Amino acid sequence: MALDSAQLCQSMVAEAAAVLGRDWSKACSWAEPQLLRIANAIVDIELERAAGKLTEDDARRLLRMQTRAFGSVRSTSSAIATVTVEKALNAALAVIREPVNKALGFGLV
Amino acid sequence: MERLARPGTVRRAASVALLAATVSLTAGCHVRLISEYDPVIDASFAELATELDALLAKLEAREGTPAAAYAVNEDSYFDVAAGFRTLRMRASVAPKSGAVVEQLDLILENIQDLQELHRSKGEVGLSAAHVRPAREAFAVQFESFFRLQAALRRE
Repeated sequence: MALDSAQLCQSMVAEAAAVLGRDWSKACSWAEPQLLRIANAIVDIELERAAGKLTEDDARRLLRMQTRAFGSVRSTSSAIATVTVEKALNAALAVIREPVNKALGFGLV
Repeated sequence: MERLARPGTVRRAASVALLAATVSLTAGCHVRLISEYDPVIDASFAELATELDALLAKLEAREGTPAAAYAVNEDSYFDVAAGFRTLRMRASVAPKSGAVVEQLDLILENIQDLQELHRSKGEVGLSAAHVRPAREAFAVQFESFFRLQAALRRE
């Protein structure tokens, strides 16, 4: 049965969302089109293999490259989420800086 | 799938990040959960990505000609891989640079796979059926890296 790139993309999105949890929402607008590109490349590899233009070993190598591309998307998505958390923590810190330092009489925060 | 962080790993990373944040807060420091932006890495990466994409474009355009043979292009693989390895070395000395290093590792592994694929084709070289999906994988990786750099700029 021929692969469906939309279905493949949906599966990858579900996996990425499961790994990143609610942080996925911070990165998904950028990440989903990337995952669709990977899914299209996987379908392309399957078609070329069926047409005899790729050996099994060629197809395996090229699929491994798509898996690593997925790893890069996952890594960036996770980093975007981390930076968002960092910004939130620093914003929270900025709010309490003045009253805390004033109350203590020295610059703790 | 290789290199996928499992939910447990993410939870552990979140706990470590929270602990680091707490320590930073009590020490009166600015919270940093991930590495600083490095403009040298950003600029050098752009040059290497261009170099690698140019190699792939040439291979696709020269399909079936002597210019597509592995031996003719072997040095380009060594040069571009050496560039990415140097970048990795620079990135790895910066604190909390795991995401940058991981992405450079993934690109280096893909360069190695592409080189081995090309080597296996010898005089014939790669066809468009090989180059197209490989180029797409690198394009996604490059965009991921640039997006990461944009996040690290914290604008």
